Amino acid sequence: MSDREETELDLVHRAQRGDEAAFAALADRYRDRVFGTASRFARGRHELEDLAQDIFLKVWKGLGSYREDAPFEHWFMRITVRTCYDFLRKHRRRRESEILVDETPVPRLPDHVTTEDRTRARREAWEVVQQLLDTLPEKDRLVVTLVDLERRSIKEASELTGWSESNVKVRAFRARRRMREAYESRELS
Amino acid sequence: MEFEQLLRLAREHEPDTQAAQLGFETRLSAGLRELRETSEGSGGALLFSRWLWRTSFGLAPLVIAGVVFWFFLLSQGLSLPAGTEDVFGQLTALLPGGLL
Repeated sequence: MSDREETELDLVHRAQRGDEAAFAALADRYRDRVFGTASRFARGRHELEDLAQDIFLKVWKGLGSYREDAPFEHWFMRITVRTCYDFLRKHRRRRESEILVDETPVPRLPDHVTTEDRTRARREAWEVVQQLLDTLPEKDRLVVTLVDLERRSIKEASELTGWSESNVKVRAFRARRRMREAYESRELS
Repeated sequence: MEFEQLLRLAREHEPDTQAAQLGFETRLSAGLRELRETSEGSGGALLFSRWLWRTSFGLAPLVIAGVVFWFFLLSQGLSLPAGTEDVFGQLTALLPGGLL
């Protein structure tokens, strides 16, 4: 066990005893990862702030149930992903109505690509993919985000979601196909 | 642009979370404080309701024993101790439907 892990476990134990400072230190370690994952689901700064806050408070409330049968990191990220999934379900209806009015152009890469062009193209591609993701059921959206956008393996996605590997694989395949169809019909029109 | 290329570009995009991370510590400690206050507030009510439940549950055998004893006295035609008859009479009168 490395020093980092020992210290982390120590922080976990202190936080489990109600030490808020220890939890704040723990949260600081996971901050970038939580915000990174949450930013794949939230729209805009305020949604992201709320979602991240929700995740950290759920972790705090659930600390007593952490039994050390898996690395703390896995346990933490499982709560993160499940909270993001709940967030998707909660915001589903509002997003559906947003799709009707949003018309982000499909990105085109110019012949001579500069860093700025590429950054802009990435952002535009991200926006288009977000719109395509909005058309999917929440479970499919979660799987595509984890596997295709966060580059997690099927096994990892399965552990994070609590769904079987075959379920994740099938969902990812179907969701990608639906997204491709939606994208191609959009390109044609 | 092909769909796969679109996905690849979107994958490379790193959403900027710096602005949302501003004030993170403050929000977190405020959230923790709120949770603590809520649990402290509801903690007192919880303790009282537990005490009430346990007390009433603990007294149940005594109440049952008292009722059985009272019925026993009535069935035996024995009189209640002097001074308690009025109290029992009044209580009995309060029962609906003239059960006793």
